[in-house]
Amino acid sequence: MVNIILVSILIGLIYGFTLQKCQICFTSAFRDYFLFKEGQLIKALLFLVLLQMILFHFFASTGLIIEFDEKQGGILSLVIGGLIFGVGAIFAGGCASGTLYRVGEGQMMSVFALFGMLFGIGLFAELYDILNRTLIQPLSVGNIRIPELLNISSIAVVTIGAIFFLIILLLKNIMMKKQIE
Amino acid sequence: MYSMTHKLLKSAWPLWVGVIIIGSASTLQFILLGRPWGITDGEVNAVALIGSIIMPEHILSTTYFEAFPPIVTYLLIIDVMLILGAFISAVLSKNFKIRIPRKKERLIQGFAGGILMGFGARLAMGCNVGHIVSGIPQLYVASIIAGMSMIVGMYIGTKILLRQVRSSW
Amino acid sequence: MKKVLDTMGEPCPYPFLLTVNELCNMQDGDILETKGDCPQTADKIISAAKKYGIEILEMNITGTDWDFVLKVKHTDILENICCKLCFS
Repeated sequence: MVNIILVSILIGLIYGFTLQKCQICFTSAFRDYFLFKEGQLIKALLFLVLLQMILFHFFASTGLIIEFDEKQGGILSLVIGGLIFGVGAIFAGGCASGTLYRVGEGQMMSVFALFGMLFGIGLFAELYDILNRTLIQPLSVGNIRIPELLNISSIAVVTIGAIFFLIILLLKNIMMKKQIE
Repeated sequence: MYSMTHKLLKSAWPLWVGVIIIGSASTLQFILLGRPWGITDGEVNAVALIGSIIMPEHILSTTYFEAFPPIVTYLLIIDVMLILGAFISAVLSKNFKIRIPRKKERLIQGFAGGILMGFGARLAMGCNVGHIVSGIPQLYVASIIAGMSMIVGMYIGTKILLRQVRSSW
Repeated sequence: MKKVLDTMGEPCPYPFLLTVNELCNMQDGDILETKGDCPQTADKIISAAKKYGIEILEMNITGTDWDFVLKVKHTDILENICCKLCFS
């Protein structure tokens, strides 16, 4: 119990410290790309996804990660929820993690955004029953992963994913060079 | 030694260093605590905690809070410590300041954006961190759908933002 | 003509976007002073000035606050950005 608390305190501090030091924010990443075609942060985030993909599957195969998380929902709720989240994140000037680290920097707008988030969560909890019936339950995507969906091994998917990400990164480098020329 | 600590604590780090630290920390959290990084799950517990101070019976009778009872979970501790960590880092790099926008509409805008974010994240069953940073690496179909629509949402939001900047100044 | 754009307290991305907006709407040779305290923006302005070919006449960074004096010049790359963002 004490160990869990200590570990989570330490890990939380590491997240916050690093996010602030490197100014890593999803919203900034995509916004700057859409506005100015600056792909620096997006590249870093793609690399983060790739790194996690390899690390998670590696430790799952060694048995240290016992079971994967649960990610599911109805197609409608995932798409509509994602859209609402994206618009809201641009409006609030930071994604879920970006808002938290900006609160630590003293940005009052993010403090208000954090209160707004808590309020929005409360609103969702109030409307949960009706939303569950209309958006979450129909057309449900169960707790299913790509390897199970396509019936191939995780290692194959990770390899394909890694190659795919590397191609994106390389393509972007080449395109950037062309733009400069 | 002085310049070393100065570099580590006071100046900005290169992006790739940050990415490797975050990736390793999230993996460590997955191994030690059983779940990778996520933000909003912990916040739901925070809402339940705040709610149970104001109106305890109502929280107990709301179905959604059965899965997220009003207790302090490790995900909530991580969220709070994230803010503290960012604060420490900002103070060390002399970047902390209470920043109050001149335009007070910004605060309302932040609150409104926050409501959309909180609501949307719960409807999609995870925020950008839960789906893009943790879900897509686990190759979940749901996370890929949600992550893609978040990016589309940010594109729409950026268009609205541009219109706002053009008209307001 | 000299213009001062004060974005103290404004969060990212407004300081940078507003600066670009002003650059797009000012004439060649005009002076724009832009100041604020958003942590991400100072680096962004420095790199953007280099990229767009805009001269930084003065630069003051003290703690969280930054203050730039820029000489407006409509280079092709800036025009391109203005056009894309429909700022002019």
